[in-house]
Amino acid sequence: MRTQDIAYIALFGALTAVLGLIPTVYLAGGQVPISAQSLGPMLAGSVLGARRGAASQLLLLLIVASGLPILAGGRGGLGVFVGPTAGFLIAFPIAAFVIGLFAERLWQRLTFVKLLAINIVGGIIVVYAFGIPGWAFAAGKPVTDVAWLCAVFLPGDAIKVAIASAVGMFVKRGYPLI
Amino acid sequence: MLPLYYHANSPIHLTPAPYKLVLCLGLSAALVFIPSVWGMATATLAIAALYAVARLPLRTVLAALRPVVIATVIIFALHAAFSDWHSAVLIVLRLMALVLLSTLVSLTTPFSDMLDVLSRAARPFARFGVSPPNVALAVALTIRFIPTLLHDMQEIQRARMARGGKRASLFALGPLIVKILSMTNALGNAIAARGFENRK
Repeated sequence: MRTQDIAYIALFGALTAVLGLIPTVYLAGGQVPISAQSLGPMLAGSVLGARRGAASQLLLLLIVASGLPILAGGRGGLGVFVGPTAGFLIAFPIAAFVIGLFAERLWQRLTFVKLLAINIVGGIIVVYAFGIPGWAFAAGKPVTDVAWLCAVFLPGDAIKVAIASAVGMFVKRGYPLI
Repeated sequence: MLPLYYHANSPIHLTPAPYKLVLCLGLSAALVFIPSVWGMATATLAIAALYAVARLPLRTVLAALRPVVIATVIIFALHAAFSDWHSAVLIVLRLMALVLLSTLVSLTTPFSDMLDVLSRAARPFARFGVSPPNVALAVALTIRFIPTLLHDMQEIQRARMARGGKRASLFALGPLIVKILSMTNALGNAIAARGFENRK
């Protein structure tokens, strides 16, 4: 690993933290704020690729676990890893890895539509595949009940996937790193 | 942005971070096996009492529980529709106990101590380049990048407004990333040129 790679990894860890600071999309008439934080793993994967993308998200989790409150809503510390949303956090590095893997494979022929599909797989399917069982375990309810509850967040996720894909293509044209 | 750590003089603050982490893990695992509501309530109160032992003010207890509130509402909504109140109360108490316990460790352990323990725990990943100096550099850079990114983001948003954009947009992330990637590349070169040795 080159020193530049460490710097890139740190950059996307920081970017994911910054995205948690800006609440941007509001759902249900402004009642449910959707943080932009889950854009972090999508952008890390599609800009840095699988290994560096996943490393940047692991680095973020390391800093959170060490007690810096840099998650959306000013959360941090070890408490977030035992709460009901722990599954979503653990999914961040895995989502970045999956997105990075597909992006690397399709890099030469990558289009907006392909990146959109990749981000849906990594940024929605992978994230919920870990997030929903985590919620279900913490709440002591079957996975299906929680899955229905999570449907509320799908419109917000759709917007985020579209933004991440547009930004991903922009960076691919302007400063390709893979 | 300040770390969660709250300084005080107490036996819990003085306990070395690795012991606290191992104890926290063990107790958390044990909490899952408490079957009765009263047993769980006693455990939760006992953990809350540890905050007094650690000489933490009452508001830290309340702040630690803040993220649990929304979860509690949702859990009760889910359980009230299908099953008994008994299991809902048990699960909410367990969640409170788990969150209080792990937050206690975060509140009584300085950021650098915890970072030290966790990055030493990551040593098995050394063959992927996860050596303590690399982790230290990455953490330091991340923390330094956060204000830089916020500043550049504002700058780009203001430029958008000046060109007639109506409101801040997340699409500004594109120019932000391209701008900061070239800066990061230069920074990486500068660190390497100053002799930061990278063995893997």
